[in-house]
Amino acid sequence: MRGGDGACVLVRMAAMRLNFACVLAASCLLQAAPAETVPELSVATHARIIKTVPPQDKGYWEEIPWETDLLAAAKRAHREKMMLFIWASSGHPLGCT
Amino acid sequence: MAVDGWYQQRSKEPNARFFMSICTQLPGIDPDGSIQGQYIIAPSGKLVHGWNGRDAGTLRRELAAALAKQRGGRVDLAAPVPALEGTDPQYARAVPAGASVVDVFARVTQGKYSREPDKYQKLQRVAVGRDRLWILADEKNALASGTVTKALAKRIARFHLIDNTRGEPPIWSASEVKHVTLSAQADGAGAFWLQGKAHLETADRKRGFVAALRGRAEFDGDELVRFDLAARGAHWGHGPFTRGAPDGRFEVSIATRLADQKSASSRVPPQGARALQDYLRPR
Repeated sequence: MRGGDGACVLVRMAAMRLNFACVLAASCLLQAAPAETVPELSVATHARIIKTVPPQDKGYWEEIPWETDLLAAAKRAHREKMMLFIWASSGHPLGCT
Repeated sequence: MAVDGWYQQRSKEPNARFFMSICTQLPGIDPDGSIQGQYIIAPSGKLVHGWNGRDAGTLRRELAAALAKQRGGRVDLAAPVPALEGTDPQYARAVPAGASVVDVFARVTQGKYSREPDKYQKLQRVAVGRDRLWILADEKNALASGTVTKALAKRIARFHLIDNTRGEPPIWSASEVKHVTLSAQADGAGAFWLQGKAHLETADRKRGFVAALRGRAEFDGDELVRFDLAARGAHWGHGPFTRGAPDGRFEVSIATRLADQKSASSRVPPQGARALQDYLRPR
């Protein structure tokens, strides 16, 4: 019977090792796979997003011929005897937010 | 004239030094703090009027007041523009040679809010975020043969899958990219469908975006003539300057299209290009 008990212990140990290996494998999979996912975009959804997310019309601010070189703009204002309006923000006004 | 104050405060090139000499004439401006605002100047750089506000009525009043000053002969338009010289390559941000500029637009397309909006939040809730994506010459060459480079996929994920609809957004750090794939499949000569997925998330899990991507890229010979990439997914959280997001998870949709390469806005560097090397060769 002792021999049988020994065999049981060996089987239990083998089972424990197998469990341990399974736990290790599972944790590796969890680390490698993305935690979250979303459904793929269909061709129709792609077309809808491309059509509807960009503004449909130009804003009034886009009709202004903005300068982006301050000294060049100041020189032009000097030549044309005009004042200069500057719009400054953190993140460029012509395209951050 | 439109400028990004971030560069003006750091660069030593002539335009930045000229701008800092202008904005510091406004009482109370801290040159190391926020220099956002509207400035009306004489060509010499002398400040005529300056303020910081988003109100259209104030803008009209300030413009009218400055014009009245000019008509009254109280603005010296003849004083010369200062002669400033030098360069500062550290903050130069020209479009890289051979690169294509792509417009990027973002919208919150679904979301619930528990708070009543003020008049600016009302606008923000339907606002479009704008930025530009640079696709480098070698990345276009790879794409023309059906390969999306890792650099392009990571640049799109880290710097352009962002909710920039309410202000200056935080970009994703390299460690916040949990997963990103973007691959191309040929669909006729010079045409490709792009498909991918991205999972971006901060370590504290307070901000994240899980999105699916699909795009269409087309070439005319070697020239990229179409880059329509769409992304849609669940976003949560906000950055320090993008407060007022919908509650919990909300849907953000992003669309790109090739920019008018000659427009003024196409010369404006991408927001993410402040960290230029990271933007060009993202980890």
